[in-house]
Amino acid sequence: MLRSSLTRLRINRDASILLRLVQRSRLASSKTPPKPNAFDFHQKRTSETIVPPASSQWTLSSFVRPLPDLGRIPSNVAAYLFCACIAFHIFSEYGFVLEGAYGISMLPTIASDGDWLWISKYYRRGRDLKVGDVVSFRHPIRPGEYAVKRIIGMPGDFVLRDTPEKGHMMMQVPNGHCWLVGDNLTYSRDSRMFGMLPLALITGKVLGPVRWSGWTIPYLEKLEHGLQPAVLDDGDVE
Amino acid sequence: MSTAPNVIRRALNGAYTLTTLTLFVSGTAIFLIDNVAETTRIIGESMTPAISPDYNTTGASDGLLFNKWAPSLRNLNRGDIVLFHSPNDPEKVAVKRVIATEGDSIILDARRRPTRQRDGAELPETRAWDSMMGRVVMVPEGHIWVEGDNWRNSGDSNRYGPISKSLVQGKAVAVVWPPKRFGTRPWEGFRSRTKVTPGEIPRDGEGAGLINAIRNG
Repeated sequence: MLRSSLTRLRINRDASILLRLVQRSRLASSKTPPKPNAFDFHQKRTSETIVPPASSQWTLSSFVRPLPDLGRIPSNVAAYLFCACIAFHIFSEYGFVLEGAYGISMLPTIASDGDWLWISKYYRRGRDLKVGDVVSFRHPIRPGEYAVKRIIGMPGDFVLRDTPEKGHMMMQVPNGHCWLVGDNLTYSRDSRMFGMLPLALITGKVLGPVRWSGWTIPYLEKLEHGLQPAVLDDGDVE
Repeated sequence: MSTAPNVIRRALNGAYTLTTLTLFVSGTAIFLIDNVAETTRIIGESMTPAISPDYNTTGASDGLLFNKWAPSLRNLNRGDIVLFHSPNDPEKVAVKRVIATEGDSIILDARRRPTRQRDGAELPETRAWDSMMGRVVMVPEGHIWVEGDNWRNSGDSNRYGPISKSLVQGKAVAVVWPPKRFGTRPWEGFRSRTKVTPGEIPRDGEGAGLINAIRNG
């Protein structure tokens, strides 16, 4: 029952296609002039009077030559690609981004090579940052470079200017700045070298390196805060 | 055929088109404003008489077009007007003139001693400035010295010291508001009383030893 109706549908469709083909060929070979279309106005304007369209309604498209058809698929792909680029840029500028890290200054928290850091851009320019956060920032001395260090002092805090064994001068962090130190104290170029960092240079907070469990499944390893509360070591004294 | 399903379908189609068009336009605008160019109004009188000359009388502020294309921000010349994040407040953006670039030696202009705005009392910045006054100060590597044209009322490097070049967001191209000054660059030809001796940070050669030791740890 269904099959017979489907075949009837197909017969009808094929018949209508055939009919349309016949009509078109008849039109092409007919003696009467074809219906005027947009092309004709430009081509025959000088020699013949303009024949209004059959529907006797002038529209803008009556006078404008239509654009050549580029082919629908390539222009769609280009538009989607452009939109994807814009969307990716906005997401990585204001949302989250994955950045590769290289260097030994944050060992053992971040590996010296091959670690990919998941950075949240919500914390850019110092918003909601606290002492102990690992942040990425634009380098103050080498324009165009980025670095990753840990915040040791926020505005108002007192920080040690040098490595603990090498000096005991302390400074107060002024408004709008922070003090950064790398986890690997011996091999880290941080605020002990370039001084207070303006918070405006901070581009985001490192939520953690992306590590692999079992070589196939990525997971985010949360970074330790670094500051432990003071513990009263109340061992029994015999 | 204005049946109910067709009306709904056309309305949804229209809403979809409007949403995607808005997202596309705003996304492209955000990308362009972040990376290519931005116009902003210059409020404050720190750059008079070149920019916003009538700010303290009528409150009228000029609009400037800034070039934010990163490669062209790498070369900053003395005399450029730059847009940068303020070191004292990361959410504020300031516009000042570049007086000296890295490696230059400057002698401070005595008129620009920073004191408290309302009564001229001394601030911690005054003490820092006094220690630099009379001596030749070298602008460190990767930093620039910025000053506002109006020496009477300008919060600039005289207050917070040289700023890092990484803070710079844009370089002024031309005035875009008010219309009668559209396209002009009224800030050119300014003579600063801060004496600048051009210099360079040594990268190779004799003086480079200490600098390279600091750079490379």
